[in-house]
Amino acid sequence: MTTATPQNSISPTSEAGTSRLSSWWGTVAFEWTKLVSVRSTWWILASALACTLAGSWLLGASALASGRNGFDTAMPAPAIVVQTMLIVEMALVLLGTFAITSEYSTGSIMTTLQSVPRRFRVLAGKTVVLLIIGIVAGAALILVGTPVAAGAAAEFGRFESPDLARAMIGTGVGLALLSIFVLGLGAALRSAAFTIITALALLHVVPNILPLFGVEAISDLAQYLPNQAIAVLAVETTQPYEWPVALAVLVGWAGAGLLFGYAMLRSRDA
Amino acid sequence: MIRFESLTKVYGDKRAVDDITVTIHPGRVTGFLGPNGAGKSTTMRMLLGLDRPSAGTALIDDRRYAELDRPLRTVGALLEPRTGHPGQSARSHLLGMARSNGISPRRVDEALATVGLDDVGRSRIGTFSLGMRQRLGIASALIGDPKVLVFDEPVNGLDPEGVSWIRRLMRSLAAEGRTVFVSSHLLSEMADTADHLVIIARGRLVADAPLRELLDVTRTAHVRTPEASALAVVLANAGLEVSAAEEGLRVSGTDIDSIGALAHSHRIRIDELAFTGSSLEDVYARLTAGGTDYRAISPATPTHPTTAGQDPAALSSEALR
Repeated sequence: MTTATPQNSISPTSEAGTSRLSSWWGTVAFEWTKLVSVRSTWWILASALACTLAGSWLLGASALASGRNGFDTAMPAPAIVVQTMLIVEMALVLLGTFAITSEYSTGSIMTTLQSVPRRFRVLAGKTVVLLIIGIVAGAALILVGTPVAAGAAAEFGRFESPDLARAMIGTGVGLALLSIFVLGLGAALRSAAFTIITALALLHVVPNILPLFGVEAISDLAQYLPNQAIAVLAVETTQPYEWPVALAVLVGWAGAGLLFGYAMLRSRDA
Repeated sequence: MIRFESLTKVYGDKRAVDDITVTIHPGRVTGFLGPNGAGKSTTMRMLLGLDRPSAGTALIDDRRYAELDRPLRTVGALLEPRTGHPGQSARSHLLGMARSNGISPRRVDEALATVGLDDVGRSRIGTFSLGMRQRLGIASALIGDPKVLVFDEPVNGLDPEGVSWIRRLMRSLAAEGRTVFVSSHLLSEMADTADHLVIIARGRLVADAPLRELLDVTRTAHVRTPEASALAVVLANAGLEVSAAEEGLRVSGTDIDSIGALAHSHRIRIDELAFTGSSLEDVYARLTAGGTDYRAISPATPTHPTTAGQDPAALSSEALR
């Protein structure tokens, strides 16, 4: 694919066209190398695993206790694990944040932009890597959490395999899109603290504030925040909307975040 | 080849880089000198597409950095001692760069060996000393075997052995026909390494000339002669600058090596002819005198630093030729 260039000749412009695909592939491989070679990535994923296992057991045991006391709290075990994602999603928020903000805090953004000078390509490379990690991690966490929750909840956690599949796919896609929204936010804000606080506010504070206005139209907006959409995506439901709407909502958040990040990345000096 | 065309960077009302037009040619080491805050790093950052010029362009082989498809194969750069992510190993840092530009992973080990870091390739960058990071930065610059190299203060943090190593490295890179553009505030370092100097002060270009020529232009001769007034006329007619000095004349100008021959042909007796080679420090001080932001204000210094009369451009390349 690549033609050897004589040392002092002017680089042939035709190279750009023929090797575009391999350039994209190189960018993704670059971002992948960075993310997996930094130890914090593995710490974050390990804590996510620990939180999922502990949370699944706790919520499963709670479902069992409530169920034996006559409350109707039975739900499929995968759905119990999905509830732990309200906390565990922080791992993907952190990965999305650090994927870009740590580059600014450590100065490695210089290496990145020297290697891949096009801002769009940098952001796209990070997006692909986070998508893969988010989908795989989300699905895997549900997969390992489900037996724990099922064991703890006993007869109140019975589930069918479609429940598990839905939770795995929904959580994976949901968390991946969430991390991409945060990536865009981080690219715009450049500070880990600001990015994490903004994301947390959107995930946990804004949904509780909106109903305080007492206006139905404003309260309804809360349904279109990321957490609510992830919940719809991960569990078989029609309330408040069905999964295609949830997917569209999350793609919208991710796209808006990326657009914001790209605009700031382009217009500001590195 | 690197070309700056009217390159300008404005921050607020400060012109950090002000209308710089200069070409950096291959096959030699070009030193980039200027006081702190003169705009050297900003110029280099614009060249590498990190900062956006307010006006003008910085081109590498007639293309902007962002237009290079696999830039590391064309340009290698060391910008600051912080290279890569401290949590990454030196090897994975270089491997990531190699992958991003379709460079063979074999180059990673070659580059590590070139800079003498092959033993610590698996250690995290965060554990490296400043000198080791600087070497890693140079390995990063060399990873794509580029024909243009840009080094910002490469000797920072290096021990004396490291300094002479990088000097040899830069000389050999230039000898291989590459473009080597290196900034420094260490003049002695440049005097030993550079073939050509580009000097900026206050964001403006004040010199673009071969090192030899810059040193020559400030060379002065002291002539002791009993016929001072006669010799003064002869030398002045030959285009040299002559002033009276103790027991004779002080002469400067580009052609001062002709003093002996001129005196001989006019049968004027000379008792002593002494040349004073001015150091690069002297040249540099004269060139940047009008431009430094950080000089102490002495009573003799005009309060308006950019008065036309003391414009440092008086000694620019045009004046030298």
